Amino acid sequence: MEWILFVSQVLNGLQLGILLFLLAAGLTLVFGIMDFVNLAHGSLYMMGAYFCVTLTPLLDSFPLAVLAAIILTFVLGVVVELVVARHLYQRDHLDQVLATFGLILFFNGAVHLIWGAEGNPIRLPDFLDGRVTLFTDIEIPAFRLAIIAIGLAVAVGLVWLVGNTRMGMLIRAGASNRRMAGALGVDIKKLFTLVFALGAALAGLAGMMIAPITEANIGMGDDILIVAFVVIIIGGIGSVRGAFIAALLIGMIDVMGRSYLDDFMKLFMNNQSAETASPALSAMAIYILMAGILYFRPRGLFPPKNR
Amino acid sequence: MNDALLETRALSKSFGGIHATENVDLAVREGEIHAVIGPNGAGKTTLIAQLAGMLRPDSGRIFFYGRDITRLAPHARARLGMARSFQITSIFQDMSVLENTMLAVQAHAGHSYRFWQKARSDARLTGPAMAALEQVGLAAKAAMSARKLSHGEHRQLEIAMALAGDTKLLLLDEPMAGMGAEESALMVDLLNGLKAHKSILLIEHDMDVVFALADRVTVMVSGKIIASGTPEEIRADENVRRAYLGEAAVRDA
Amino acid sequence: MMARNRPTLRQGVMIAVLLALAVLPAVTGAFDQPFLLDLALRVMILACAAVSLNLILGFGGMISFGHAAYIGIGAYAVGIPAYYSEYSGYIQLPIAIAAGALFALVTGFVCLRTKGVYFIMITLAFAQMAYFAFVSIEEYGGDDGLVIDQRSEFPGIINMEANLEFYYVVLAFLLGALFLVYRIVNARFGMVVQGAKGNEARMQSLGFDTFRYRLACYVIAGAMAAAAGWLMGNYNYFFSPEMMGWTRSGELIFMVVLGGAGSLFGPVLGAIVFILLEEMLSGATIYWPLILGAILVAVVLFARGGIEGVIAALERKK
Repeated sequence: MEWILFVSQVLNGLQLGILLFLLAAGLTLVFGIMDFVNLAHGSLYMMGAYFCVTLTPLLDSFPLAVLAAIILTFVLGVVVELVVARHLYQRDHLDQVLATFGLILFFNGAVHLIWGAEGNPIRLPDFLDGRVTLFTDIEIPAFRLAIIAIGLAVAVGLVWLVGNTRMGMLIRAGASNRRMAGALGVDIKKLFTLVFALGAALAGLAGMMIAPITEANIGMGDDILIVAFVVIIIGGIGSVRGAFIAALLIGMIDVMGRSYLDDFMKLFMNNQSAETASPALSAMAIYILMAGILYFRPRGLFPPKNR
Repeated sequence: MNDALLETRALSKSFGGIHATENVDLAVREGEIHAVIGPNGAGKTTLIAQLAGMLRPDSGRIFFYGRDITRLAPHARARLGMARSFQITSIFQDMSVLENTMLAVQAHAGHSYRFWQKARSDARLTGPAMAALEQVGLAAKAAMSARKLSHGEHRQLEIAMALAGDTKLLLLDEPMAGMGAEESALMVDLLNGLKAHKSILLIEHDMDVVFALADRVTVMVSGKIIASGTPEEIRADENVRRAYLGEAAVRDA
Repeated sequence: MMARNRPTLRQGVMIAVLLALAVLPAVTGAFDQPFLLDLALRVMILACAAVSLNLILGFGGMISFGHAAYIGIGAYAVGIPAYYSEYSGYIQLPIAIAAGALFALVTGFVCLRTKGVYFIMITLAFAQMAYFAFVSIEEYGGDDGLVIDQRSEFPGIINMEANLEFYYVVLAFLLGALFLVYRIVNARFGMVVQGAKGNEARMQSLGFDTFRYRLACYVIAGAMAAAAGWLMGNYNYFFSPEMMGWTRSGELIFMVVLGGAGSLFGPVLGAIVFILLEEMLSGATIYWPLILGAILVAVVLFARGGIEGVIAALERKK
């Protein structure tokens, strides 16, 4: 039984890590290339989930709804970029933080207006709703495996995109040196819009993946956004590879801390104090990790080169 | 070498395989103006950054008054009496000329964990600050916002800030950069006037300035010192003529 | 900030607002409007926190996105002793201030090694850490929060249970916070902190150990905000982690910027406008965040310098 639990916790950690990566990838690119702090990234995650809520019954297919919702979040990303974000690239970070904080309030209010205050579930199709048996005696919800598979596929795709395509080359050039990308004769404005919308679509996808498990809620992106920030800080701002490694690390530590820290602490102290202290400590674990990493590497594990 | 105020021994720093400074042995004596010249990319600014503590050398030692300061933080070096001016003018734009200078005084007036007394009306700060401004000829503009000064005046203010602190050695990185001929001439006079009280390490492109000011000249090429001596010796040095002055002569012609 | 003989428009606004706050209880008493008094209390407490944030953000250039955590720390310094039936203000208030200072010291030690956006995000993350720590401590109410059954006691001196007396305690704290920041930013210490905001490398080359000065400033602001939190806990008779969440920190930043960062009285004006705006909008529609959010975006895009900036511009026109 012990190791069955362990394996399913590892998968949970992997799943959380992958969701964090989907969120963090856009965040780190937008920050790395446009030098733009986007607090509203979590709102795009929420909007993706809500688009999927409406589209799933409408199209009568969850996979089709996901595809359509990705396109919608991409378009929403373009709109947000054109209307608000692009006017803030040259401003200081304080202005960016404030304006995107305003966007969060705006989107939370808008969702309340359109979808109401209650949480909205998404019904999964049968083939995703069941359980899959692994190694003869471990049962895993099929949807969780799907999340991990899709997330890994996106991660590989993104690393390929950034590493091997012309657009990826421009993104990397932009992340390490904005002026140089401009000097290459790239239409920098279009590139910015594209990157922003791509990040939005990835965040939206993460929202769609989580909504069938937790329901879509107002403000669902607010807290996970901060964890995504922790991920990109640890990974090094602008680094997709760093975001991927840090996301998996954070996902694992968070899940493992919550399930095993009390057992671990019982080795050192009496049961009661271990049970009181461990929830607080495991909730703080990822932030303590971040503090430790930053103390030794103030710019994260994979810092951008020319900054 | 015992009278050296600042001395480096085998100072080396490289960036990704390129030697910005390589085995640099340099000695600045008390009361002299020592110019470091060399073509672009010779490693002069890297050298200054290491002397001021902004960059840590890969190997080698730096001594100030015979004390090893190789690992000392920038602010600690400043407290010992080293003041640095920046190649890009670096003053506090939001403050007045006087306030800029007062900060320099304050830096050498004990700790600043003073939370209550008003600093702007503190004669212990304004007095020395005004004296320094007078020395560089900016006293009349003391109340003006630093942002409104001309480029040349910015440079003067930097010198005033260096004077206001209890400075023994000024590290000047191209103080004439971007100045017109007239402003340059004023600055040369100003620096000449300081000679008696301060030692100066000067990085400069303009040969006329160097030969008008320097007591000794060190020539750097590609991170290495190729010659060091009086201006006359440097002028006569074959290596220097080939590596540097020749090029300048061609350019001037 | 410069010495002037003639009172300026900005000073006039400050005096008028503070006088209005001082006589407000008489007015609300006469017209039987306790609701207004309540609103003014909330404004003043948040203004205290905003004034302390302005010390590091406006004058020191340290954009802390975790200031609400200190409000939480201060409020729990009322709630947790009260939970063990310790109501003495002589114990609770020092605990609040010391805990706020300590949290600022420990987190600041890491945060201040970083710059720019890293600093913003790290302060945010540490505040979130404090938030989750309180959420996970079931003993003190966890997610649901902690009821505080009575206000801090200062026997023989002041009875904070009496709303009027509490009101003037809060006003005194606000005046104290403003005076403290005024003295600090104009003293030698303040010159160093403001210099480090403009150009940290230059300050170091002048001989200042900027890290320590900024850390000291960060600690002072943390202690002040925790004192505001102590007031908040007393005011509400209740505190829940939600009240120290990161969106609350965002609201504090908004107050500072709306009022005018780096001006002494700006944060107070910002707090007044923000609370009134929120009050009016939430009275008009349940979808008020939609409108407030749009206003916020518009303020950032179109109105720079905040309210104090507008008043200063009026002054120049005259």
